[in-house]
Amino acid sequence: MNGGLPLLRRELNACLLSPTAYLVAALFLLVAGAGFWVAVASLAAQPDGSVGLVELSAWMFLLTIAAAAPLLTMRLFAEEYRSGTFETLMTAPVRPAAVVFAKYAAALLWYLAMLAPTLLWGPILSAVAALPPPTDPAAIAGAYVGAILIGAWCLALGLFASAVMRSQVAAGLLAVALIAGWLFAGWVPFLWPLRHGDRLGTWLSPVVHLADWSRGIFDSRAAVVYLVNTTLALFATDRVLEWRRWR
Amino acid sequence: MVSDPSIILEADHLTRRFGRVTAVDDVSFQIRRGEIVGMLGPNGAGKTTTLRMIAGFLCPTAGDARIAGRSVTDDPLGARRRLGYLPEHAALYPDMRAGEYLRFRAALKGVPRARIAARVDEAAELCGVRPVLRRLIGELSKGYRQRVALADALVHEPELLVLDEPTLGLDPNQIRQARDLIRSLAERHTVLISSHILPEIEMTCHRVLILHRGRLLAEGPVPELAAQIHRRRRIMMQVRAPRDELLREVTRLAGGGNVVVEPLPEDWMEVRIEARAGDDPRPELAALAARRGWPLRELRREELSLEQVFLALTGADPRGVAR
Repeated sequence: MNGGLPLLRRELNACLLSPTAYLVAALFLLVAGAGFWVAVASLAAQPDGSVGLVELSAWMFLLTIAAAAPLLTMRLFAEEYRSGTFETLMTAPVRPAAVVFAKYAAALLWYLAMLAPTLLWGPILSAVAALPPPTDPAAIAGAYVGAILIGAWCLALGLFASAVMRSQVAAGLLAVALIAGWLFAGWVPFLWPLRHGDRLGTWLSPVVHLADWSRGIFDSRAAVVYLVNTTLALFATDRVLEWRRWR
Repeated sequence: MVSDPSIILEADHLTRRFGRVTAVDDVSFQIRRGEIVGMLGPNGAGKTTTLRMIAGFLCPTAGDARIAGRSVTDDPLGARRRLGYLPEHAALYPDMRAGEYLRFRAALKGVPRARIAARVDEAAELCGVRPVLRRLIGELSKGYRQRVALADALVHEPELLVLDEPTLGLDPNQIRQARDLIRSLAERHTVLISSHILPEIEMTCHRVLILHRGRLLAEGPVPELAAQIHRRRRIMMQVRAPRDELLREVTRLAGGGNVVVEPLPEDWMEVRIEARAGDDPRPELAALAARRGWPLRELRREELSLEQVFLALTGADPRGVAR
């Protein structure tokens, strides 16, 4: 894509220079690490007590990403609007799609870099506690695929919010609202008695998806939903940038 | 559409509405290669909106603009590749170094990788930012940031340069430097420059477009327009002299122009003369005061404000011109 690479390099540099990005990464690892610790400790106390634990961990992760994604994305467009660099950017010979791609890819790469240290937790655990590391490769791969798909979707929502709002704070709040709306949409069919309510809930609920994946049960339908949703959110972001030329 | 290759910019009935407000109303003009054209108008005349449509930042509600034959609506990337644009409040990334920023912008604008270093060097040299290339943009003075932004507009060797109020917010020294810089650019580029300051356009441009309330009010070569504007020039003099004698002498020198003499405190008199085209009685007035031994504390030609320019151009109340 024309101009995509220089833009991506610029966005990555901006991310590497941003204290917020490091703060978010540190808090993310702290909270996710604490969750992991709690899971390990409760499994050690009650080896057959894993029912509900996976769901609890999934909730922990989802709430962490719900807080991290807006913090990582809220400045991406809102800051360009505030400082006026948006005009310089949009009058360069690049398509809005290239700008969206570069900002999104930079946020996603930072998110993957944030996830990477968690790969060490298994080996650290076995070194410290003389416990065998979690060895079910399907479950580990499933958990990471889930974390990446859900993270990618939340970042796309955050980027969209940043393109819509002129201020960083408003963008962050809108992103939180969108992500929270999606998190709780999965509950509605359970709470609101419908004929096939729990089946619908199972399809919508990110907790069910994440718990399934991290048990090694890979339901490709859910993966497709996240990929399609992410693409739609990015497309909507591109349209917002185009709309700004007409507003 | 096949267009005349000597025309670099063609605005064709450009119109832009924001809700119910028409900011730019059916503006058409052409710019030929090698010209330096000024766009003059008071704040709110629609200059920035017009330039933003040309630069592709805003879409026209109606009409089109073509840069080297490429439509800003049908071939926006082709049009923007040929354009170097300096926005009104040129904003840069404060966390980047000036050289790094210019290399980034060159790559973004499609300068081949092998040419980037040479182009950045050339643009930096031309705009006098070589000494600050390694400094963070956030640490640069406003004047230097403006120059870096100008170097950015030039870095991909555009066929047309569009500069929106390039001296806005600079101090007088920086304004003088910026003006010299723009004049030197004009030797190699076609330039469209906007301003709300008449002398600035008179000093730098060949031709001027006058915008008022979103409409193109007049266009023409600067000397022609200046002559039109200065056709009725007003001379102002403050002198200590007996009123009747002063009025008689000045009326004789004014060659038929309207003369008004008004007393000021401490026996000073203020004389206002509406001189006719081509007439400048100032040397004679100064000689008169010297000959008669009248103390003279002021003698000047009143510069016309933009509002007065509109009056001179239309002979109408400027507030009633657009609608």
